[in-house]
Amino acid sequence: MTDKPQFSQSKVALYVTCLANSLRPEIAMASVELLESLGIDVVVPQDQTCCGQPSYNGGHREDALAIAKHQISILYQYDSVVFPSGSCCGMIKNHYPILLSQDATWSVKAAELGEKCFDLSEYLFRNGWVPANKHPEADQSWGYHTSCSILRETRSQQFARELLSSCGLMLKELPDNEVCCGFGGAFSAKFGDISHRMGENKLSTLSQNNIVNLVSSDLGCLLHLSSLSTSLNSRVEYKHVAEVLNACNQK
Amino acid sequence: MEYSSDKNNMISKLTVNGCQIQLVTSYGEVVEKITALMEAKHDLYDLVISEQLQPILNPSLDSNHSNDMPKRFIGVSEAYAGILDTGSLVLLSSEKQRTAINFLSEIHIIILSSQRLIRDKNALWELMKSEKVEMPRAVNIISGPSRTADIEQTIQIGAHGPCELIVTLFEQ
Amino acid sequence: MPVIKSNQFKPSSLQALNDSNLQLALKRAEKGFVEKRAKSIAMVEDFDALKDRAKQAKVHSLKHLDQLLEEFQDKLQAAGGEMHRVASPAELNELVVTLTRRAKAKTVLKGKSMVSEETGLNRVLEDQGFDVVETDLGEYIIQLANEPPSHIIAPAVHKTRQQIESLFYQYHNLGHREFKDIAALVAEARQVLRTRFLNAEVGITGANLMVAETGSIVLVTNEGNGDLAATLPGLHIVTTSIEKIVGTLEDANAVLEVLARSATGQALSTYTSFFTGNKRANDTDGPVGFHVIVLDNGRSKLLGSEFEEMLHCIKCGACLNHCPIYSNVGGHSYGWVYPGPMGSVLTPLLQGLKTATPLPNASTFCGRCEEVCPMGIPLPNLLRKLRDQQHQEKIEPRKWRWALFGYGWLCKNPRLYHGFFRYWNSIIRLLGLIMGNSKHQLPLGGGRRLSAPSQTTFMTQWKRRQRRTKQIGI
Repeated sequence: MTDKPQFSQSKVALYVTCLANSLRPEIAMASVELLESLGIDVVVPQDQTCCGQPSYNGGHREDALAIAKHQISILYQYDSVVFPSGSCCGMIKNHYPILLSQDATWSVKAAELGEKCFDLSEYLFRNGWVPANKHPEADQSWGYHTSCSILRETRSQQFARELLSSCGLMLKELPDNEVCCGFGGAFSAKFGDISHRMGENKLSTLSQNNIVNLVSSDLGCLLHLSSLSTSLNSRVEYKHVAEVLNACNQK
Repeated sequence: MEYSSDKNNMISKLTVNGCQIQLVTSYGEVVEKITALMEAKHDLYDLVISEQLQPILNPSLDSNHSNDMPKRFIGVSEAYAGILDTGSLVLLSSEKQRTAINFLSEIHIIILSSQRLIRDKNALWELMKSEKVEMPRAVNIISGPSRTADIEQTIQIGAHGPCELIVTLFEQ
Repeated sequence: MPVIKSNQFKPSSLQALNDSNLQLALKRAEKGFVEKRAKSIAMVEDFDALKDRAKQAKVHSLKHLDQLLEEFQDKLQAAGGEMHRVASPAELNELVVTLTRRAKAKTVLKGKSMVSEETGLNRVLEDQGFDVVETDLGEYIIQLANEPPSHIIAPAVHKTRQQIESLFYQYHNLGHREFKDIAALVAEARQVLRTRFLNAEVGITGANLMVAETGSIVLVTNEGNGDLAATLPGLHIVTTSIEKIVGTLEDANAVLEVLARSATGQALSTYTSFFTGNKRANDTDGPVGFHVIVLDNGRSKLLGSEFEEMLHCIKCGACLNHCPIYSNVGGHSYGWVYPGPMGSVLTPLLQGLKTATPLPNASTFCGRCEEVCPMGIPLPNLLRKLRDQQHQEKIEPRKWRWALFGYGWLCKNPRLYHGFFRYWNSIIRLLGLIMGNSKHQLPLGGGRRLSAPSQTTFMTQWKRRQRRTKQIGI
């Protein structure tokens, strides 16, 4: 990456995501701190809500359209929007233009906004973030859970992996890297048994590979997998990439 | 130069596809190879030679002429062409080439002239057009012996068709 | 017509998850298919270019479908064959029965044909007193087991070797014997089926493609069973469907370039045959009758619709092999002949949305099916459109309908949204303290536990932080 765009003087918004906001606020806070460590004055637009995936994937297209327009009108004014989630980033980046394709004005706006959306790791990488120190638990065994959205929507798994290894973490390659963990939003509620089994398969790969810490860029997958691990007596710690990177940010 | 690299390329593709390869330069040698094979198999197999090859091979070989196929036989056919990019053999049905040989033989010997190697499947249609060959009833593009992976995803050779496919590469 | 049990997806899949034989077979199959495909595609310089070319062929053929089918019919007729277009499964079955009866047949050989599975042809022929023999090894196994296929290219993929051994002991009257390996099973099936091949009067196969410019059908197999069924009996009947047509031999090649690579990881299947009409005047063998029956069964109504791309499907099975749902629940859970992602789109389209309500929802939208589809069919997006239709036709479960309405309403009203999450966050924090375990983990059912958040919502924290910063005067 020779042509790193310089965003530090520009207006950068954090898209909090509904899951991080309500269930793991520390992830959003860690994202803020990481961005601030690059000298960025982060803005958190107050009227942002959820990206609308439940409606979009649940057949409620009218709601999804209205929600998409709302987020676009809130986020459009920023030079960059950073997401601590591949899933929400992929939704706004790739699916808003599809959702709004029938509307000439909004589809252009959606596409323009899409260009400015970044998964947190990609944004940090492109802006030259470097850890201040090695991760305190770097000597443990680490794995990266490539969420389907990071793999196929934002296509940005390499950035998280690069940053994590710059923190001194040796990520073990997992053979089921391309296989879904079974979360899938409403899927995990509608088809609990299948979702459960898919997660168990993941957990057994983790134990076969002696993984102690699993990092991911998507909170949904982490919540799903950690919810299973209590019943399976797994000792894996589930961590969001923002928390792990931020732990290397303290001078 | 180009010709010999084509030939080597074909040989390696055929090998990957599970074919055995024999190199010959005359029909006399073909007869020798077939005789040797029959002996090696303790004469357990009948021999069925496609009509097209009968005038050339029959005088020296004792083959089955009747319309009914014998129970276990070694079949001999001639390929119309060999396809380089997939290591495949093209067999055309005609009054002189019986399609059933391709699928009922236990061991199938296909004679392929090294002059008849073509780039890919599209080149086959071009070749047939340029040689004014009408679309026959059957164009069989064969890439190895019969196989199946229907039981536990394990590849097994000899499902319904030939258990062995021997390609006799003929250099004129 | 086979009974459609797609609405039973949930109970069937639960049963499948608890079937240890099935789980064993599925794990083995998934690994095999995925690795073989990946290896074969890595050997191609530019697979995307091959995909594009194949797609072009299909786009062209759907655009000129009727014209190409007419051209096919003319060319086939000139080669001594006959084409019949039929609208419904019942018509197809009836026509096959008529042709078979006219041939005074007793034994009918079947090559693999998904269209004939769609119409339930075997049952109809058996009811009419014909002896029907499936010849593809996988199809033969499930015929013995009296089960439908569970995979579109590997029908018996759900069976373990031991289960197949028991079937052979039960149905082959060959006395006491041991099967020392899989090869011994294959050899026995070969021996048993060989005698059937030689004595059948009719062969029925499917077709992977129809070629308009020559009137040819293309048949792809690895075993050679389809070719035998197309060669030995006096009558060859092909059961296929309208979208299998392509314009030219080059177009057919373009599809073949991606088919075997995606299906079995071969550059080309062992036997790729172009059959054009019946036995020529001086030919030494071949059928004297050749009929191609082309089924519609709801396909033409997809032309020009937002689901047209589904007709690009070449039935390679890659989406099944890479689907995390299919590889856990197997094909039978889907309740009809087409399982996995392609089946979850096709079943509701061909059989009606109400007969397959769970299928469009049985996806995490992980996107792997679209990624491996050689025709680039946007399967997740098609499933999403079916979910839209379910919502519009009000056939989604009521509790989901209201839950989504409520959530949508919140998302459109930022103040309510943030207020709601503030309360929700407080409630589950409190529940975590009261009902949770020592780590404040709340039970979710099924042994799952969710850790309650340890802090208030991010938005609340952020506002506090902003106020603090202002007070300090930074």
